[in-house]
Amino acid sequence: MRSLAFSFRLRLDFSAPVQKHHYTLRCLPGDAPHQRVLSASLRVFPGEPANASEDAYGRLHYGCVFQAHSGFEALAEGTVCSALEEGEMAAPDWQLGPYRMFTPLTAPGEAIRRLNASIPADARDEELATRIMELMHERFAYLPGSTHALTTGEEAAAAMCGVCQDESHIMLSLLRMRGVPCRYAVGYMMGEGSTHAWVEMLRAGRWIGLDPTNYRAVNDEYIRVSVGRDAADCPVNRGVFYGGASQRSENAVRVWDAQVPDEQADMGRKAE
Amino acid sequence: MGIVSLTNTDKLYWLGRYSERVYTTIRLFGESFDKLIEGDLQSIDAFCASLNIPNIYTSGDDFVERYLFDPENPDSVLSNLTRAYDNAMTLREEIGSECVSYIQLAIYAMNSLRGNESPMFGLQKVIDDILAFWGLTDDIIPDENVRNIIKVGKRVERLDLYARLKLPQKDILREVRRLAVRISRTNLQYEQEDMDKLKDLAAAEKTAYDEIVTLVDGLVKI
Amino acid sequence: MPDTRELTKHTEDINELLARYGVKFGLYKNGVFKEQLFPFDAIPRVISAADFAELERGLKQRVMALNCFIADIYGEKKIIRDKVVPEEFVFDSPGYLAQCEGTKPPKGIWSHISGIDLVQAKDGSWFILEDNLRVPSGASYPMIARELCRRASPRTFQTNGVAENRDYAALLRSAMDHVNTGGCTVILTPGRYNAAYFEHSYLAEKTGAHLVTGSELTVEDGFLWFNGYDGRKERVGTVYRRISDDYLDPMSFRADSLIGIPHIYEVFRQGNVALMNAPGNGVADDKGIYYFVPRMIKYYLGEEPVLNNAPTYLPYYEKDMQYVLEKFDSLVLKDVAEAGGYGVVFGSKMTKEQKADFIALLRKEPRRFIAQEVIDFRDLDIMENGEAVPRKADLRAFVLMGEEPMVWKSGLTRFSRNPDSFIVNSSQGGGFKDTWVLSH
Repeated sequence: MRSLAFSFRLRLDFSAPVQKHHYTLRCLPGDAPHQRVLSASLRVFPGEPANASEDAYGRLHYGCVFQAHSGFEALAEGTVCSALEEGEMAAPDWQLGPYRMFTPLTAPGEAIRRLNASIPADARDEELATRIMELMHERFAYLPGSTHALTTGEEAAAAMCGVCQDESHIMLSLLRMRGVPCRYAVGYMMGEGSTHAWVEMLRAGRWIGLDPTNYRAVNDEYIRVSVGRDAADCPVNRGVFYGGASQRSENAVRVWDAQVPDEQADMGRKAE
Repeated sequence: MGIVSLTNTDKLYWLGRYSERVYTTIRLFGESFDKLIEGDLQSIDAFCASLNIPNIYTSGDDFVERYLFDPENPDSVLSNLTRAYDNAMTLREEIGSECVSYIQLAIYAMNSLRGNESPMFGLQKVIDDILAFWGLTDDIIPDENVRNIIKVGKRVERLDLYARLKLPQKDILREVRRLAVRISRTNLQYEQEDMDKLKDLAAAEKTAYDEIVTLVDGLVKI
Repeated sequence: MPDTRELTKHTEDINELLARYGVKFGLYKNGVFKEQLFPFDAIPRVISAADFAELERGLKQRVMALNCFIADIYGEKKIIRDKVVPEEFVFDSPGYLAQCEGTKPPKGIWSHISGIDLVQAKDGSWFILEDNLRVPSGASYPMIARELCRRASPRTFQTNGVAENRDYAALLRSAMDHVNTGGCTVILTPGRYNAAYFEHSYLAEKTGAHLVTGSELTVEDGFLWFNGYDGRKERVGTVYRRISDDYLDPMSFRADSLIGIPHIYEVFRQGNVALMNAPGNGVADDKGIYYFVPRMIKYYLGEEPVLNNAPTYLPYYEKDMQYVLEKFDSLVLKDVAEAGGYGVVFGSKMTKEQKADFIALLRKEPRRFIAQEVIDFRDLDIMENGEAVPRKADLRAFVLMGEEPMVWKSGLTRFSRNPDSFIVNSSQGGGFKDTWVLSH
């Protein structure tokens, strides 16, 4: 168990004023068997506080800025007890069908099939994970700007470069080719940076987090915000607006060890 | 009074305007058509000038064909009727299928007239359908506001046309009064000041037709 | 058979009246929008009371099972656990929407209006052709046709006991009210350039609902609102939406939808508005899932299916694939992703090359196709140039879900005007008939 504090700041800049700007934000972590949220808050500027909700992918906040504006900001903060158990207990296998299917972003093509061919056919579980992670570590170049939000795993595999989203998509594709249920996870990682993505694969009835980008298993330095079948299911921000403007988006994330009052830490322990 | 959306308010208003435009312009056309029998081509000029529409017509036959039936001519009777139809068919739940059917019938009547040597007979059918439509809207639409929005559209259009045609002051004055009564029975937004000014202009010794046109066109804010 | 000569004499008059009331459907031809009249044939399809009782039992049963299936798929997924339906037919289907996982629609109803397509074989038995659980259309046509037929020949209806069908609006309204979460009722249309716009506007008129497009509705404070011109607004409790799932909400489904309402799905998921039909139903009316519906009936209801599917084979199963290859020439093959009569091919009508190409495709993507025996339809007579001639026809029955499932005592009978065609869809030139259910 570890207490982590986080802050997330999203900034949208529009090239011209926009209005009726509807947004859905997935930036606050929720309670799960492996993590407990001690405090969390979200503020948006401009506009009324967003409506809170929750769906199959996790917590979300939604709202609308009706008046004309040319910038939008969301600020999320809180503290979380992480790594309360190793991997979240998964639902029964027969409910995991959606996580076994390919999606447009994770469907394999020639490039991914070639990668798959270099992994032993009989590799299972931990060994399979290790082999995939090794392969990605050796061959995949981390190159921000070389891909975009809609780049498929196959496209990224053909170029063998990209960011955490692309590496995760390739890994999901490789796992699904072997019938292993797996999920795309979005969240925050210790230190300063932006939102991060990794993979959860089913192992012995639990979702085990694996971070191919950093070539390691997910540990107590990770806060999970949402999970889906691929990146399209759970973007941090999704919006539509009126106005002929282009949008520039950037986000900043910081995670650090929290000084948690005893009382709250106790709550975390109880959950353990 | 039920809630009527912005879109439907706009459509009701324009349904009133276009139905009136078709009705009045067909009657005006009849007068010009009569003069054309003697080959008086100047009557086309006068007709276009009075309605403030471009005279694009090359002959008497061309005028009859394109002013009445050309769907590409934005000023044609068919174009105006089609606009009325476009509004009517999307107002079925506000005004009822029976009302909509008369605008539909007017479209069929109009289309069946093409190439007919005596268009005035057929145009009478179009006028009959529009009169039936108005009668029916008055009779069966339960919501007073809905009913009156159509009528305001009709009154605005008529005043606009009469002022363009520079009809005698008594006609203008009567239309202004009818509009003033009607608009107060709707939830349409307008400036009372504008309405008062219209009354003054209509009552003045020398009728300021152009000012009336400008004012009445911008009266209703939708 | 009832005597309908008195009525059919008036076929032309009735069609004229249908034109008068703007009974049309829209259609894009070479990218240009056109409105077309829907040709009406006055000889009704007649279903005896006893025959209908059987249909009614079967249709209720089928729709109940389909509702259970959708709820199960977006919930516990027991039918997968018990291996009645293979999971790839569900979660890989374009109709499955992961966003709907865990959603519980008001009163647990997913398919409020189901359009079930049937055909009658020569021996009188009925077969289900297709389930339509998304936005089935067509009820308005027989509704208004009946109104006009009664005007045309009152005597025909005096001498024949025909069950009322103009009560469709009342049934629909009761289904709307049953799930209403508090507020007014609206029918959401994509706009007048939709093929079924006449129906949208006619049903709005007859149910007393507001007909709206997306721009008149907004989400605020977790609720859906209908906005008036004068600034007043009213909460919406039921949306009978005639927009497909994809375009309903750019925040949950297709982001490029300009006709949807942002966040309407969120309001629905929180139980603050009813959407009929519920998004996600496409998972149950897929042509591939159709094969499994009889099994669903046994699984969820513990009953034998009253109505049969047309004999269907899934090339996905090797045994069925063998059969399909063997009997290729006597089967009709359907692409599961297509609708509206498209993607349907007859084995017998293919050239040698086409056949070889098709079989190669079938081997490559077996999950994409189903194969069916060609049913020997019972043709229905239509009047053509004053003469009765037989044509292929199907029946779309409508089942509405309120407190209980209700089967409308009528239906849309569509026929092919082309004597050689099996395709009855209006978009491909078909016409329609009234459907009479006799009251005795």
